[in-house]
Amino acid sequence: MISRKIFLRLLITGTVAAFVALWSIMTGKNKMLREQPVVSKINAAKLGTGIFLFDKYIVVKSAASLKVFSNKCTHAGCRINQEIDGQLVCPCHGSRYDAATGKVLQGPAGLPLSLIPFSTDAKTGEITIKI
Amino acid sequence: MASIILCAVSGALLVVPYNVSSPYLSVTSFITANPSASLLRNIHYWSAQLFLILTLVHIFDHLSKGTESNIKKKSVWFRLTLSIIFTLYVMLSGFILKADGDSLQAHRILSSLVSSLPWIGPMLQQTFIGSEGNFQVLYLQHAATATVILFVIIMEHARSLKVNLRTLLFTIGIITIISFLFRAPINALNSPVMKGPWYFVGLQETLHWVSNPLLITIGLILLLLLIYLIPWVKPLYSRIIKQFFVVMIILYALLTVNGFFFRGPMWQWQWPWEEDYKLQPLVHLEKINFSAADTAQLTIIQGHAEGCVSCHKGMSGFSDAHKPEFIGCFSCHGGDPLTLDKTKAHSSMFPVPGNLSNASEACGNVGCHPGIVPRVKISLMSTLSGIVSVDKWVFGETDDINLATHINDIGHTASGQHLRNLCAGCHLGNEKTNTGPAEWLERGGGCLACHLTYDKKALTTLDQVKRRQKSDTALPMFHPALDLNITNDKCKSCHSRSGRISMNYEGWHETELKPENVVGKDNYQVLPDKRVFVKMPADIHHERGMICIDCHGSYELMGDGKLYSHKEEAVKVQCSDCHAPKAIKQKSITGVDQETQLISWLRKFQTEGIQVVLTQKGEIPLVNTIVEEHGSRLSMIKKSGSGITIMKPPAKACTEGKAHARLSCEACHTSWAPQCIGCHNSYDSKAKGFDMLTNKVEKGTWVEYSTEGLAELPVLGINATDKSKKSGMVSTFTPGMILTIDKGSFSKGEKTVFHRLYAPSSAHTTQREGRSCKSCHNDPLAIGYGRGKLSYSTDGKWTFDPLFQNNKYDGLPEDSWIGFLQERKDQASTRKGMRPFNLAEQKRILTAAACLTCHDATSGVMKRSLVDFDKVIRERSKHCIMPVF
Repeated sequence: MISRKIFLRLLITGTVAAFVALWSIMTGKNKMLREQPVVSKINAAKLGTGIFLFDKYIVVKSAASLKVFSNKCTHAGCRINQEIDGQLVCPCHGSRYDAATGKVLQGPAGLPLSLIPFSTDAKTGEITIKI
Repeated sequence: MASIILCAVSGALLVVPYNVSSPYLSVTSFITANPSASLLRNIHYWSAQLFLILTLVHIFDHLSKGTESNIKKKSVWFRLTLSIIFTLYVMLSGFILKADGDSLQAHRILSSLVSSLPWIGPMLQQTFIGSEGNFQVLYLQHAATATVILFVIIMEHARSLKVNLRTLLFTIGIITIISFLFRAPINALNSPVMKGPWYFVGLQETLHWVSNPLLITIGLILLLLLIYLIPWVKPLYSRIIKQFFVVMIILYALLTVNGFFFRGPMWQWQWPWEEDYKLQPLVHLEKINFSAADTAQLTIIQGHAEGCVSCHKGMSGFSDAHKPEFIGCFSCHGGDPLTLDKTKAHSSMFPVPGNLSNASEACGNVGCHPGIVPRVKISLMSTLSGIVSVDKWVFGETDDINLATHINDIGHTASGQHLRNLCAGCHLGNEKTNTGPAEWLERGGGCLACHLTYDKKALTTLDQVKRRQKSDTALPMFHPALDLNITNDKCKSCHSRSGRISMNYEGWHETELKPENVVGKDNYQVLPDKRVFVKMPADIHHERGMICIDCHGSYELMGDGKLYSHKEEAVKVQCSDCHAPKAIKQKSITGVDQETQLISWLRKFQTEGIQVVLTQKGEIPLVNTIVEEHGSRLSMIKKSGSGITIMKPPAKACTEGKAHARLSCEACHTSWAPQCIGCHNSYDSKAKGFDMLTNKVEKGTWVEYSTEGLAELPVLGINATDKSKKSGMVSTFTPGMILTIDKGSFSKGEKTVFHRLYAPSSAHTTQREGRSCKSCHNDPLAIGYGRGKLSYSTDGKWTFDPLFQNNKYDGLPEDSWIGFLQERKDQASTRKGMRPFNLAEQKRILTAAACLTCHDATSGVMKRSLVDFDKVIRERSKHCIMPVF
């Protein structure tokens, strides 16, 4: 026989566990709902070569290529808001990335900037970015 | 207890003006125009800081006295340990809720740190931090949940919420006074300096050194675990843990000091003695004024309130990008944008933004032109490197005449003082201190030197402002423009000196005349600084309506980010970029760099299908050029707005044959260049002098005694740094430094030094026709011998009779570069790799000169000589008299 004390403990543990499970599922679903990809379009054909800092991403266009990087610093998540001499610089802790490749030139960041996939409209040169 | 109660009450009231859907706008609005809310916000902030400090002191006090052992229940100690997290959470969430640039980054960091925890991380992040750009979760947890939990824990800890009335009143009094004096921090949305709250600056510095932030999160949890363990482990271990914490506190304090005082923009290390050192104020002075605020005036700029525009409403005159409705006033002028009080708003503002001392914060702010200002600061017009290095070299203070240096580093040596008295005024870092257009005697001004434009309306407004009485309440309504209207006049305040290229270009030569000598006379121009110039042939490009910036683009004038020693390194454009049978380098305008594209757009140039010329050196796009017909037709859109001009390819005479293959374009096409004979420099320790670097009058000055300048064809020499030909190119030179320096007049015991240095010249007096053959081959000045008579006798002997006497220091005629049929092995030019003709070259020039003595320049034989000179010499007539050297 389970004593009343043990039963109550099990009941409380079960209730807490159920709440934690609800909490976990709720936050997971909430994340999915809140973080629906936002579609953004840019007429890349009209962009010159250079580094363009947008709200959520960075477009780096050279004569040979076009890349879209996340502007989230891979170190602690700060928004990279400056380009100095071809380097993308994080204002919070000083990480520097090579704008051409996204590779880390100076820590603390250890990982390169993440590339954001995009599709290009061959007719208009417009690119569509989902982030 | 008193501080947390005060904090809670003020916080509850702040719910009224705070708007979670537009937090930054609401905070900036109520700081600017709702003094009661602003005061409450200050009370909320300062009481919270006091609570945090007292909490930390309380914990330290308990642990140092060992009173933690009084707590018998593990659950109570666990909750107290947990309360540290909640205290920090409440503090940090409060910091984030002000929603400025620092806050938004802190929000992201906190989100990232918490999310990095395995499994529970995302749940905690969703529950206590919320998603980026949405403060609803954070706001409610800050205002309700965390505060309630904090109070519950305090209740359990203190057993009561009772507080001594005297303590409460004392705390309210102190906090209110502080809140009247100091504003709770609020920063701009975009700032290159991002710093967290004071208690996390040490953590920010730690994060700079740690690659994986998860380690920091785990470290913080371990620290909390250690605190939790203190009462329950053996006394020895407990003591060790406490000692460990003492060490950690000291370390953290050092890291905090580090972060505060030695970290600048982009968290880069900065020393206090560095020129660009920027220390964020530790506290910001407040001025709560209940009577001044008029909420009806409040103006919203790009999502935040800005008090400045509320008073300076309706101001016009700006170029599109700089209109106040887009960037407000604060972006350029600084000051305090969050007040309607005039004195407070104008405190610490930049009356003249754009000076290099403030350009990083004004023009170079994040979101404006951050990439350009660092370039300008090391550009040649800022460093004056060439002038400095040559001056240091002639004074014997450096061995490197090509030293890359900066005008700010000249010191107070003999050369430093010489530069201060004679040269140091012309650099972009020279501060513009007056409002109004850049005056002739006011050189420098950073970005404004080129980009500030006063039109008639702006000048009228300026005049009204200058005549304004104190009683006048009407504010000026017209602002000068900041634009690309960079006229030649803007270059003249500096470039009318030394080589005087600005004046040469428009066909003016400086004289020794006084203004009164030329009253009513044509062909003379008196500059605002009273120098008198006489009319000379202007540059063909000027005659065709081109202005300085038609050739010299942004990467030359504002620098390309590289530190150059001399002008010929920084200047990329050359004649052959545009005057070529076929474009040598070209590119589609849509494929060039962002800056050039922006200029093209601002100037409303057509871009569809347009190819532009790229300079051969550095591949810089010339934005106003058009390449058509597969590169064979080059034209230029004149930036003065005077239409399009075709850029003709060089004549056949320039491209055919090998005799003149080493000639640069300017060697033939320069019509004249200002030249001097020499000068003497001595120091007068008693006379009043002007330090052009500090703009202060000082005792003692270097004085230069010089001769009148002559406007003549330039001297020719070899520029071996021009790699167009392996052996260098024939280029133009003028006397750069033929001078004596009485060094003994500055420092006793020093001797007088003499130098005979010519400088490479780009006179900017291009003429359509090339100079005549004889003007080079038969002119002693052109060869480098100086003025005089060069004669060829029938026995094949060349002789030279100089016009000027020989100098006592080197025995050469005063104005010469080299002795007649002599060579110089010493440093003869103000550059490495540039020299007068060597003996072999002189002989070859004089051999052709011998031919020209009898044969007309347009004769068939001379034309053939251009194609193959050696062949003509081999096949010469027996009557020809060859020179005997």
